[in-house]
Amino acid sequence: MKCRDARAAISARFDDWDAGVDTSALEAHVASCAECRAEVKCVGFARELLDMAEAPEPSPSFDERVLAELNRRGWFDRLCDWFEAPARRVAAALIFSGLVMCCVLSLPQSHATSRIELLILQRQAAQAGMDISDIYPPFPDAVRRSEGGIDKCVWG
Amino acid sequence: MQLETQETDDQLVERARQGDRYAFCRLLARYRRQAVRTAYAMLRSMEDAEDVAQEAFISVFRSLHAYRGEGKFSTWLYRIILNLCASRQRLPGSRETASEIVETIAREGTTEEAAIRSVTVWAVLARLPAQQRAALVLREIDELSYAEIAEVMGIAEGTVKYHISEARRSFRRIWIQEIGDEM
Repeated sequence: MKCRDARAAISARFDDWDAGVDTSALEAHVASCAECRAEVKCVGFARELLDMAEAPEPSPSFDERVLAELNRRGWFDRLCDWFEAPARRVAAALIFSGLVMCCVLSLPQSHATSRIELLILQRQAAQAGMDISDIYPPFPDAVRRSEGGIDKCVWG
Repeated sequence: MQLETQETDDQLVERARQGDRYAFCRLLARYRRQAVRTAYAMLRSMEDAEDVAQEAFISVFRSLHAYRGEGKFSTWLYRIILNLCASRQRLPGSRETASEIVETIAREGTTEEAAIRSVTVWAVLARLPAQQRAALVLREIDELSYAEIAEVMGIAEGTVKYHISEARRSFRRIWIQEIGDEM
């Protein structure tokens, strides 16, 4: 057995922790090693001194300060606190995505229509003897007013 | 007269999670002393120790939703305290011993001899490597088991055993170097 293992086992036994060390091997090592024998005698040295040391007590205002700090936190901090929970983050992300989708779907379709689609619509309207704005209300005023019609307009 | 039953930490945490501030105050009252003492043993500064303990409780409050009750509440609190201490570790020689003795006498109302011994104990403790110091503090001051220390420090129980053993040995060696073979 190595001295380091023996010392660790001595220390663990002092704490009543099962070090998983063969007792007879440990005893044989301690009997043959003066340094580890000394360790057995001194293992409680630190505990004795730490027990005697004056440990400071929290100041009387400690609780008040913690609670004041919790109350002092502004709406942004509280919002951040609320979002600390992963489930809440996921829920918020889903709600936000849903709102974005609703906004996109409720937008007028004018800007989503390509130039070719407008030309087709214009032809269909002409064949039916109607104006394009009759069959496609969002048809932009600017295009309708332009001299050359759809062909001269630039579509994004 | 109906006596108030002693609620477990888990019961208090559950109530605090539901927004019961009183339950959180009970947890605070139950653990503030240990929290400050542990932080003091790690940092050797009362001001820093109270700051760390305060920050730890606020962090606990913010993370109550994450507490699943799988480990002990105290273990969780100690882990936060040790992490906060690690982030503001002071150098061992950063305190003036004389002023520390005066502070201790004033604060604890103790004798000069006891104050000198206390200050020396904390000073020797501060000279241990951080991992050894943490293991020894959790064992000797907070009286945690090896399994709990392993959970707090995120290391194996076998490693805890070595840290504590080496810490005890180093503590004694430094004490003898500084003070001599006496208590």
